[in-house]
Formats: sequence, C-alpha cells, structure tokens
Amino acid sequence: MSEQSLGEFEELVLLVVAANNSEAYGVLILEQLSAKLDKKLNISAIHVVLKRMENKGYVESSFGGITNERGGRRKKYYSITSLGKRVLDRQYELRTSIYQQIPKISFGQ
Amino acid sequence: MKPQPPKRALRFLRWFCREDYLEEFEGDLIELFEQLHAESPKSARRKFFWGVLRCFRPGFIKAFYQVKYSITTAMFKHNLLITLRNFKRYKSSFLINLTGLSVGLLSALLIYFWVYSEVTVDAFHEKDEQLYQVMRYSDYGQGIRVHDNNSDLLVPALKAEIAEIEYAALYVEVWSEVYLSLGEKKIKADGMLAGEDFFKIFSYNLVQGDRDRALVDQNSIVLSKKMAESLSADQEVELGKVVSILGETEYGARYAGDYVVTGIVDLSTQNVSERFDFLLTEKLFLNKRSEGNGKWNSNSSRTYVTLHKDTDVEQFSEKLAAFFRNKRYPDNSTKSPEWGEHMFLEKYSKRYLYNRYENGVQSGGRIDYIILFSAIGLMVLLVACINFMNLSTAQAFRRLKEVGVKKVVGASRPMLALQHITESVILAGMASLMAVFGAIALYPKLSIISGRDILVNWTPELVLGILSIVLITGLIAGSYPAFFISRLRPIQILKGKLKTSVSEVVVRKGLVVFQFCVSLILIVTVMVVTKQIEYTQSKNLGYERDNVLTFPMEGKLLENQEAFLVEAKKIVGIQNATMLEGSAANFRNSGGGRPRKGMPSISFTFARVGYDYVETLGIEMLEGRSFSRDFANEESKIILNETSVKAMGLENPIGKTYDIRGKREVIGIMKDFHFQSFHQEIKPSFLILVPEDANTIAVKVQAGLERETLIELEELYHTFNPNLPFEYKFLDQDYEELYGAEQSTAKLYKYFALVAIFISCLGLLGLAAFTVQTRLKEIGIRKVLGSNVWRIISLLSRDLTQTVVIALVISMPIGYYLTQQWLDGFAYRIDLTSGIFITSGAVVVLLAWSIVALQAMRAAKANPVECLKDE
Repeated sequence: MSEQSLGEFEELVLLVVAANNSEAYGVLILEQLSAKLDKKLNISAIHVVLKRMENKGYVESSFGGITNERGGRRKKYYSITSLGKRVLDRQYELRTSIYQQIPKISFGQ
Repeated sequence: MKPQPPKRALRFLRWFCREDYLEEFEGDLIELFEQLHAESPKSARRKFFWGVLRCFRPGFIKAFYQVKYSITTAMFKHNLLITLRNFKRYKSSFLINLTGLSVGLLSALLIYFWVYSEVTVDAFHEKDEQLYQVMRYSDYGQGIRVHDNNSDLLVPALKAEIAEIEYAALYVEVWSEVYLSLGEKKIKADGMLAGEDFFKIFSYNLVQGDRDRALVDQNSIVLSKKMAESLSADQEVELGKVVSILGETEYGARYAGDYVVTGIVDLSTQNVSERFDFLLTEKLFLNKRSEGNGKWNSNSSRTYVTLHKDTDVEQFSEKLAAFFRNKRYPDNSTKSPEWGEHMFLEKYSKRYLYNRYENGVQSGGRIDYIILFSAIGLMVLLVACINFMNLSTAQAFRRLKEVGVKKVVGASRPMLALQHITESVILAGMASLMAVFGAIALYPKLSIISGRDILVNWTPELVLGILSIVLITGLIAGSYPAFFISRLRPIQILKGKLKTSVSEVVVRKGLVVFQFCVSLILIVTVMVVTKQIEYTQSKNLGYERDNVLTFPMEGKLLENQEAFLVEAKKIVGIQNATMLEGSAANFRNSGGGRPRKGMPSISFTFARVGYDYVETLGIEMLEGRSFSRDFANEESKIILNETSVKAMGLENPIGKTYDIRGKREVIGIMKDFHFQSFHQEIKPSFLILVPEDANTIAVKVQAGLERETLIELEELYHTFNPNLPFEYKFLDQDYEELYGAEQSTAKLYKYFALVAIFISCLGLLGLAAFTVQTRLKEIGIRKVLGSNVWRIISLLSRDLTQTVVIALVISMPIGYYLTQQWLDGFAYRIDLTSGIFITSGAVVVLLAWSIVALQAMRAAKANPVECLKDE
C-alpha cells in the first residue's frame, strides 16, 4: 500500500480521468473539477498531478489529432490504467468499509 | 484573427520547459487563454503569464546541459560519497573535528567583529583626511605632559590668521550632568558646547535641522535622537520646541534657561567615540565662561579643525607651532625654545585608538588591546587549524589501504590530493557556516563584555574579511593532510609498513607542542591577571570603601550643605557624613609648588574636602588632628600625607606654616592611603578644607542597617529636593571603575583562553583515541603475554609526557616575560611566584594526562579476545 499512495487531490483528478476515460485532457479536467469543487484551480496544479500519476503508472496518455483550436497544438488525452483503477477501487472500498462502521449518531438539535 | 497569447511568456515557456511536456502545456494554456480572452483580454494575459510561471518548477524544467560522464565527474561523485560515508562511520572524529574548527573560527570571527568595530570608530567623517585636533604639550622641566585642551581664543585666531584652516570649532564639556526638561519630563543629560562650524567639520547624521545654522544662535540646542525620544513622552520633540535646562546641578546653574531646538542628531547609526545628549553653542559658552578663561594661558576647550585639501600637514604643523608661541609668549623672553607650552596636530580619527602619551610621546592606548586580542584570535585559530590538520592526518591513516589500492589501479597524485582536499573543504565549509551564523548571532553580546556598543556596518570590506578568514583557514587546514597522504608509496602502504620520515614526525609533534605552548601561556597569563585584579580588590587601601555611599549635591542641597549633614547624622544607621569634591577613590586635582625657599618644587595631588572627611573614610592619622569645627580659621590649614612629609624632608611639621596653595599651617599627618589606582605610586598629597567647592556627599552607613538607612536617607533627601531623584553610588563601585579597562579585558581574555584550551583538549582527545585504536592489537598481545593495565597506560602516555615537558620548557619563560611586562604597568602589584607557574603547568599536565589515560584505560581493560579474534 505504501508504494501505491494516492493523495486527496490526486484521487480527485484520477476520478475525473476515469469518468471521462480517454477523453480527458488538461483543460477539461480543470473545468470539471473547478465546477464540482466550486473553487478556482490553476492548470499547472493539474499538470503536476497528472505527470506524477503518469510516473506512478496510474494513468497513461496519448496525443490527439491536430485541430485549428489551441493555436494548432495537439491535445494530450489521459486514460486510467488497470493499476490506477485498482488503486481507486481499493481507496473506495477502504473508505466505504470504514464509513459503514459509523454507528447511527444523532446530533439532536 | 484569433487572439495571440503574450509572446514573451510563450518564449520563456519554450525556453525552459521539457520538450515532451511542452506541446501539452502550451496547448492547455492557450486554450484557457482563448476562452478568457473573450471576456477580458487583460486578465487573460495576466493569467497566461501566471500559468507559465507556475510551470517553472523543477519537474518540468528541461536538462540544460548534457552531463558528460567523464572520469573526473565520476571520481568527484565517488569522492563525495566516500567522504560522507567516512563522516558517518567515524562519528566521534568527525564531531571532534567539526566542533574544534567551528569553535575556533567562531572566536576568531567574534574578535574580528570587535576589532573591526573599534578600528572604524570615527572614520566615517567625510573630511576624515583633513580633520585634526589641535593638541598641546607642556615641558616645564619635569617631563612632558600632553593636553587635549586649548585656550578659547584659539579658534577665532586660527580662522582669522591662518589661511590653511577651512573650518574650526571649539568643543567644551558641560562639566556635570544637567537636568533637561520639557513639560513635565525631566531627564539628566550629558552635554557639550560646540562651535558654529561643528557640523561642517563632522559628518554627524543631523536628521533634522540645518547644518549651517544649528549652532549659531545663542539660545539654540541640538539634541541627540535618543534624548529627543526620551523627552517626547507627552509632546513630540521637533525643531522649534523649547527645552529648558534646570539650575539644580552645579553646572546646570550656569547654563540654566530656555533653549530652542535647532537640530536632532542620530548618533546610533554611526561609529562615534564621543557621545553627547545635547549640544549648546559657542556663543553661550563665551558669555558664561568663568574668569580666568579668555587668555592665551587658559585651557578651557578642545579645538577641532579641518584643513584645506592639499595642505602639507608637516609644514602646517610648524607654522601652527610658531603661531602659538608668538601668541603665548608675545615678548619672547622665555628661557629656551623647548621650555613651556607647544602646539601640535593629531589626526582626529586616530585619537580614539592612540590615546595615551608617555612623556610627550605617543605610546599606544586602546590599540594595545586591539593588538592583544588580534593576537589571541590568531592563536585560537592556529590552534584550531593544527587540531584539524593533526586529526585529519591521523584519520587518513585508517584509510591507507584505500589509498594504496587506488594508487595501484592508477590514481595519480593530484587526484588523491583532490579527494582529500574535497573532504577537508567540505568539513571546513560546514564548520565555517556554523561559525558565521554563530558569530552573527553572538556579536551583539560582545558589547556587554567590552563595555562599548559594537556597531557593525555591513561594508564590503567586512564581508571580504570574513570570507578570507574562512577560506584561508580551510585551505591551511585542508592542504597538509591532502599532500601528506597523496605522497605515500603504494607498495609500502599495502605491505603495511609505513615508514614516516623523521621530518614528518617532527612536524606533527611540533604542532602538538605549539598547541600546548599556547594553552600554557594563556593559562599563566589568565592566572596572573586574575590574581592582580583580586589584589587590587582585596588590598588594604588605607581607607574604608565598604558601606560608604556617595551622591551628588544638587538643587537645595548646594545651599544647605551643613543643614543636610547635621540632619543626616541624626539617622540611626549613619555613622558619619562628609562632603568632598570629585571622587574619594580617585583624586584628580594636582598642583605644584615650592613649599619653602630652598626646598625642591613638588607636584602634589590633592582634594578639597569638608569636615569629617578623615573620619568618614576611616583614614588613619599618624600625628595631629583632622579638620574640626571646634577650631577657628580651619580653611587656612592643611593635612599632609606621609609621602609629602618625606618628599619635603620635614621633621615635626605640625604647627609650622608652609606655602602650599597659600600659606597654610600643618595640623595633621595622615598615614598613606591609595587615593588613585594601583597603576600609580602614592604621591605627595594633602587635604584642604573648602566646603564651598564640594559637590558630593559621602555617608558611612553601619553594616547590617543599609536598607533602613537608605530609606530614611532618601526621605531626608526628598525633604530638601522633592523633585529630584535620589541617585547614590557605593564607594567600592567608584573604586572598581578605576580598573574598568582591566576588568573587562580580563573577562574577555578569560573566555578566549578557555576556548583555546578547550580546542586543544579536543585535539588531544582525538589524537589519543586514534593512537589507542591503531595499537589495539599490540595492546591485546601485550595483555595476553601478561602485561597489566597500568603498564599499558604508561606505555601509551609516554609520548605525551615528552611533548608536555617540551611545551613547559618553551612556554614558561614566555609566560613569565609577558606577565612581567603587564605587571610593570602597576606601581603596586603581586609578585610573580613560582606557584603560579607550577599550578598552571600542573593543570595542563593533569588535563592532558587524564584525557589520554581515560582512552588508554578503555583499551587496556578490554578483553584481548575482542581485538585479536579477527584476521
């Protein structure tokens, strides 16, 4: 587990990548995340996390075709790897299993 | 057309970004830019810039140069790794080395800070090169005396008659502290009176006011920033405010009145020798000066001048001297051209460091302390370097096999030297980093010890000085072990036979001997200095300085002296009370005279006192009586001390009349007592009764009742002066001030001596540990064959004993000579007994021996199996 760590922000980005599998690229992730979190994010923060996860092997990337948008630069699409999926699943299981242990707590108003 | 992102940002991104990331990042940034541009082009451009900057991080920057994996870089990497591993492996050697060097460097740097701050005193004046003080010396056939004051006629005469003078200003002390007041506030302050040109001559930082006009009007006052701040509690002090001088102190009365603030000087940012709280004007001084001034033979004021640029100072000095002789002796009827008073120039910025004259010749002063401490700093640094060299060389012996193998494989000598230099430089670098940070953190504390504010301005010279100290130390310490090791022959090393040449042994032993010598000399001198200072504190002075407290007569006390003394004596705890002029611990008045025709002329040191002086201070009378209210006309009588009676060659002088400051009848003879510091012999001295001149009250308090008595005394004081604070001092404090310079120096000296000894001990510890380690097998075999612990210890410390004995022989004469020189400055002093030398020798020998013995003991007690089992 210690080898395959996943930070909170990394997890969020990985989720977005998985949700838009092989359609996800920098700006798209940025827009979706800032909409969900209702918070301004910087593109380079996304880049940092993407590159880090690519090094860890959670995501892989490939270039799209050349279009007229973006000053002619290609998009780089990210998709989740099977390792990434496993890490994500484990994270999810871990959370839900602990969450389910929470007894019914009443906070009586 | 599509909006274009900022070109410069884009170019920057392309310059630094990794090629495999570039297209993606560029694209994303441009896409965002295009989206935003529709709403607000400006913020889009800003965001783009920001985005590019955010990408500028280590992970995204491309490698700018291709690392060539040549042998040199590989070796460098390898050396670095080995160095770090060695530090880790031999932790104790590493720590000893690091501590020794950094402590040594730290002390050297601290001394450098102090020396630098002392040397730059007063050097900040813009006209430093042209700025001189006019000095005077007098030769009346009894030795030449140097004076720093002159007649107040000098400044106007110089300005009017000598062309070379650019500016000139007189400078006079307001002889006592006075009370400055503004509104409700009342503060004691030390002041000066200065000529109009003062601020043109000196570059003091006048934060408010006009340099030309500040000291022109008679009712002007210039305040120091500190004084202005302390006065401005309820109202801000600024130009045009009126500050009053109150007439409640002796000289306050002379200058009492209201003054308009015309300037505020900030003295705190400059390295100033003469500090003042306020300045008054020359005009005021001239109006209020006492009778007797305003003549060419008076000496009321100091004189500062600046000369025009390109003036030949030597020629000018001659001209000035001639000019003064003409003024002083207009009829030119003096005996010889040498006799009498003469004028000369001294550079102002040199005055602080070179402030002592002996028989008219400049003979050092503060510069002596600077030289002394620079020498100590150098010694400490040298000891630290030697330590480092010895330990590193010893350390390297552990790695002889490594060196041998490397040489066999083909490492060249420079390569090996480089490896060891790298190691030394890394260690020295760590030590100097620690030392520099330590020194920066500690140097403000030095001012507590040295008694003067240490002001360090971070000039390039200072930084350069620090850097060169650090670099030179690293180089000296690092180079010897490096070259020593790289010279060794591989075959011998690998065979395990290491023949060191005689010269190497001599060098290394010599270094250790030197270290010991320095430590020994330092211990001897510290002991002598401490003993002499103890002696000055404990020797019977001939008067009682315990429980005598003194305070200045101020305000109503000046008019009601007798009434106050009568009331004071009624307090239970007060045994006696008197008044005097100046300080009982240090007589400052002097005057010469021929007491009777046919007698030699004698120069006396004397005191003007009130009734009960002799009784209050517990001075013993040999014959006769002291001043008493029961007799009439006591003002025309005199009490001599033994020395004067001897100097005048008198027998049964009591009741006879002599001409000493007027015709006076001798009523008593006092036993000699020390009315000055131990530097001076007891001189011919006398007391005369002049109650009007007294400015200090002295009270003898019964031991054990100090607290109650002080409270009552304060109450009494306040019935006379309800508005003045009661500020008293004990006489022994006064007395200690006589040795202020010695005491602060001794304190500083002791610290550095301790440091040097500490470093030497560290070095010894390291060496001992190393020797023991290399001989572990030998010790094991000896034990197996039946040797006992003590024989092994004595075997291991034999070398050391030899070294210490040599060091003792060398250092003792040097220590004796140095301390003798220092003690020569005291007329009353301790004898240099052999005890001091024996003790200090014993301290060093014991210290060294116990360090080595402890290490040896550990080795000797170990089970021989442990060290013999492997190989």
